[in-house]
Amino acid sequence: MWAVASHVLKNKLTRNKKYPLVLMLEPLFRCNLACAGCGKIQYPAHILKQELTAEQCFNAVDECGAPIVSIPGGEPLMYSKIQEVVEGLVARKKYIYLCTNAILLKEKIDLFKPTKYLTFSVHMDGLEEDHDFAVCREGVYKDAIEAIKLALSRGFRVTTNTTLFEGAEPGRVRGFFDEMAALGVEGMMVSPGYSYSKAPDQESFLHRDRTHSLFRRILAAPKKAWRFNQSPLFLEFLMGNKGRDYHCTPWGNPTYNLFGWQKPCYLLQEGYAETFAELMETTDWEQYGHERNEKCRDCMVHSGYEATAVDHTFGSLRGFLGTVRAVLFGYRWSRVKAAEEGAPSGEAGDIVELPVIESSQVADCGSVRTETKV
Amino acid sequence: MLSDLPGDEASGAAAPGDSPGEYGQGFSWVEGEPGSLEEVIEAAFDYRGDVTVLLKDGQELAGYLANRSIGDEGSSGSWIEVFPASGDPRRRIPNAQIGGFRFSGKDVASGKSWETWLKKYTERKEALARGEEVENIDLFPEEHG
Repeated sequence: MWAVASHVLKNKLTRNKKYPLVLMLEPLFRCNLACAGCGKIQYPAHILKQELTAEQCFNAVDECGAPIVSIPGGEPLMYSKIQEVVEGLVARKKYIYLCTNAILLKEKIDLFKPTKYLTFSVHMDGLEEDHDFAVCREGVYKDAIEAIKLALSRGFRVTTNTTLFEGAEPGRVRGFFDEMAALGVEGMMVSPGYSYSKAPDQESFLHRDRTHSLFRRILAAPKKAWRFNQSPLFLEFLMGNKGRDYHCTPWGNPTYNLFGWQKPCYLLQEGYAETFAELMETTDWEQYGHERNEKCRDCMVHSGYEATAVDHTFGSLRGFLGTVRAVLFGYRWSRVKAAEEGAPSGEAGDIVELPVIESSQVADCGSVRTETKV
Repeated sequence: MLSDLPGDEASGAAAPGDSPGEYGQGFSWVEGEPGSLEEVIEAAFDYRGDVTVLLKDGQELAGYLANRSIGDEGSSGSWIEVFPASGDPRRRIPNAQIGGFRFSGKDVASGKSWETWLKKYTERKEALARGEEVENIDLFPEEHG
């Protein structure tokens, strides 16, 4: 928490309004899965074979200066320099979220040493049937569960990262949260998926009003055992809290990959800059945001909005008090509307745990879904 | 560098601007045909397959167009950036040197992987419902497209 808070406050004091919070470092596009909702890996074979060098990764990290580095991809455990890069980032005291589907985690786990700086953020798309359907391969859920147990037993920090799509069933998502809590993961992340134009399944992306409704029904009565590794204000934003009608902060999660610094964000690919400074200076940020750009209209993804929520928490008294209130008394939204939508009420008002690790930002890492569609 | 991709697949090529769907594999354009270079470059940038750049000096470069400058038409600062299919280092080419394009590689984002998965999944569920023993199924990344 302190690393994020001090980074935000430092930028506030220097009146720097556009600052990065999480670097999304994509060292490769290659993956060992072909998930339905992922638009990150559709490239010719010679591109999929290429990787960033470790030096390129370190230069990007140093140039950006974000306290947190998320390593998605592609599948970062397929990256030949992953051990060297992780060790280099730990030496730089960067908080790393290694976003993985965990298929290779058992095989590669000896490459890493447990440290407070390294967290395995495992893609878990829902309960077994939902997860395997979403990643288009059966058996992946069981492998991931085994890998999570192994990593936890070795003393590693482990979180999960879940993306929801049209058709997700709130009851099953809640059941999934129960399972992850029982496993003992340190925190969970959840976000609606982004409507990648290149993703195989183009029919299951959520619209904004549907996102509000879905998340209200999922999070209306959070259980005590659930621990989210996210800003409570971001979760209220997903639930449609009127006071959380946030604007996107695309520069909060700048993305660096084989092609350069991606304009304008982790999700859209409208061009590339050679340097981070060029990205910040030459991107026409005013073109983007759900109220201004058709491509952003339904986007409520954490890579765009969680930095906004974090800035709200540490940048204003109202935001800070709102966060404290959400932590102590539960998420605020329209309870009447939630009741009309059939949101669970059994544990409404229960205390919501504060994020226990020092970030509220982890990569989307491709995409996941919790729909069974036959 | 000469193209190392097989075949031009230019037959049946459409003019740019006919419709967005025309910018598929096999599309080609050379300077002087309807449409503008900038328009074709934007389509090539969005295309998730290799293109062959036809240079005015007669050379061809096949690769993935990963970036481009967005300058005024004819601007000397306008360029494209290509990752050659040969694996050579990325190459930046001024627009002024470009005489045409062929969309020579397969668009790997235009495939039917989702439909393929749904079909496999449905068939397996039906087999299980009939009481048959079936193995786990998967859709590997190579099946994209």
